Amino acid sequence: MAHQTPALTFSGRHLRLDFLCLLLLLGMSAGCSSSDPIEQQSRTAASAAQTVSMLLDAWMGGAAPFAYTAGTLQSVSKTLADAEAQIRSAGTAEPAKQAALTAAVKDMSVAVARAQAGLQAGNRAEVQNAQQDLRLASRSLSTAYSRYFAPKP
Amino acid sequence: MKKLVEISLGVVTSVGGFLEVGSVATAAQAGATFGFQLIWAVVLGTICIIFLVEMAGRFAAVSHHTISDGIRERFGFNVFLWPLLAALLVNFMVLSAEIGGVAIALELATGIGFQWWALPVAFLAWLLLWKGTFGFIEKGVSILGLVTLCFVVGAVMLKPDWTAVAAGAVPSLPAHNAANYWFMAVSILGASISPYLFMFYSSGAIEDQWDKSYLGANRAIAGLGMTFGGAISIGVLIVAALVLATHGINQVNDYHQLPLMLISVFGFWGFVLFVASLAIACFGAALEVGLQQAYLVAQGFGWNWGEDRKPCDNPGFSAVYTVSLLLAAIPITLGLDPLRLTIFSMALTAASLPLTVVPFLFLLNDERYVGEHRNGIISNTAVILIIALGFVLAVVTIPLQIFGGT
Repeated sequence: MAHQTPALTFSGRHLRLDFLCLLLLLGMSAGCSSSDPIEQQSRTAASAAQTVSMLLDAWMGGAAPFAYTAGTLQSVSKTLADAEAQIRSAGTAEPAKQAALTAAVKDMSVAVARAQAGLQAGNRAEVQNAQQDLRLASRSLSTAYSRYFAPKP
Repeated sequence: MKKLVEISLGVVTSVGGFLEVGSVATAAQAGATFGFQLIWAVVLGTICIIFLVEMAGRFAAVSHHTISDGIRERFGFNVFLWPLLAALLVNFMVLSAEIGGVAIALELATGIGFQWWALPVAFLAWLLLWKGTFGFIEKGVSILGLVTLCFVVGAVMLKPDWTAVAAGAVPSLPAHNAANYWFMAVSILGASISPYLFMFYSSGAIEDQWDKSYLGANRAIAGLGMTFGGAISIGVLIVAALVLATHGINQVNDYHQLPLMLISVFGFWGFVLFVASLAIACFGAALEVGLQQAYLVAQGFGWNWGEDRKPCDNPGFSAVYTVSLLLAAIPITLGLDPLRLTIFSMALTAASLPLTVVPFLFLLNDERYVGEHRNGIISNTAVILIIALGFVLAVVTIPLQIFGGT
């Protein structure tokens, strides 16, 4: 069945206003950020590490297919690289504690790269070792995070 | 008996078509970050969409107008232009996000990057709209969408603490990350109350030639269909809370994290179910949003419209969904992160709701259109309060999320 509604006209003035509105909305959607990148990126890195740990368990149990596992590891390695860069470049009054956070995230990246290599080679032992490294790096991040955000005396 | 079959089919269609990329992404993020605490936002959004869908069907059945027709006729084109542009912009972002959702599902299944899938997905959607009928679009894909019930099954299998789930249905203040909490609440409301849902429903009622005899069926379809649909969203949130949050995954920044929710419950089949759910739900929504863009423009400019008619008989209508699908595929092809786009478009949807819903409420209270079937005080109040809440939260939290805040 076809339907028709009466034809209409409209003025150019409204289009100009709406175009401005559209530009404003597009400008607003340009990006999302947090005021505390160190806290935000540390949380992101911790979640990313847990994702990898859970994923590798699933892969070793035959529940996660190869393509998905490889794609996720690649995506997580980008997330970790981005988190590391943002933590490193954030302005802070405590550079030593910041460096500990950066190092922990860097260790996570290394562990994920090791897992990727193990996955590509089909080497389960290597993947398990990478998981172990990742757990250690996660613990380091947790410690560094607690120190960074510990209440000052 | 025929009515009963129609009601059942309508409810099944509503349930199967309820979940889309926005509800999956927002519910999963909310569950992972805040546990059950944001269930109330899904409940509020579902209540609101039940009222709006019932109103849209009632308006179409009684007045034989779609919402767009009614707004333009009642307020004139200059007023109609604002909701038209707001709906077109929000729908464009949602359509892009839905195409991104299908593309991500295909990436998960094949390992080939999502960017490569956006144009083929848009082409397939276009082909179905070009060749298909309204019944096929409305019912075919939605019935396949029943696969999304796996989230409810998963939630039950995980044996949640139902007292805690019920407590989550009561609004509460966040213990941490307040700006993110309210932004998530807004995104959930936006995902639940997408204008395309009730606008599409009203156009569908006209396509299906509803009259006053459908008022009872409309009420049953809106009430039961949306309630069960909302239950699926809550299922996603519960599974995310019990699987992702308990494994220390409190931030969902990437679609790759989401299949783990069902893998943990169903093993390998959980992966298959997740990919199928995401692909079918998003593809169904892409068809509906693409069609809704064509309805909006065709109804707004007085062109011929109707999905059951051949494209050569309503070229403007067909051209709009063709161009909409093509344009919406471009941001995904260029590599825009579908998850970020989804969450942001859902928040913008909430912010734009007053523009589309308030004129609609006027129509539902206008005797010239709905006669004795005008809105009651309860439906008016409920919708106004929820829309106002969504709008205020969106206006406050979107700038916070963009310009900084924790």
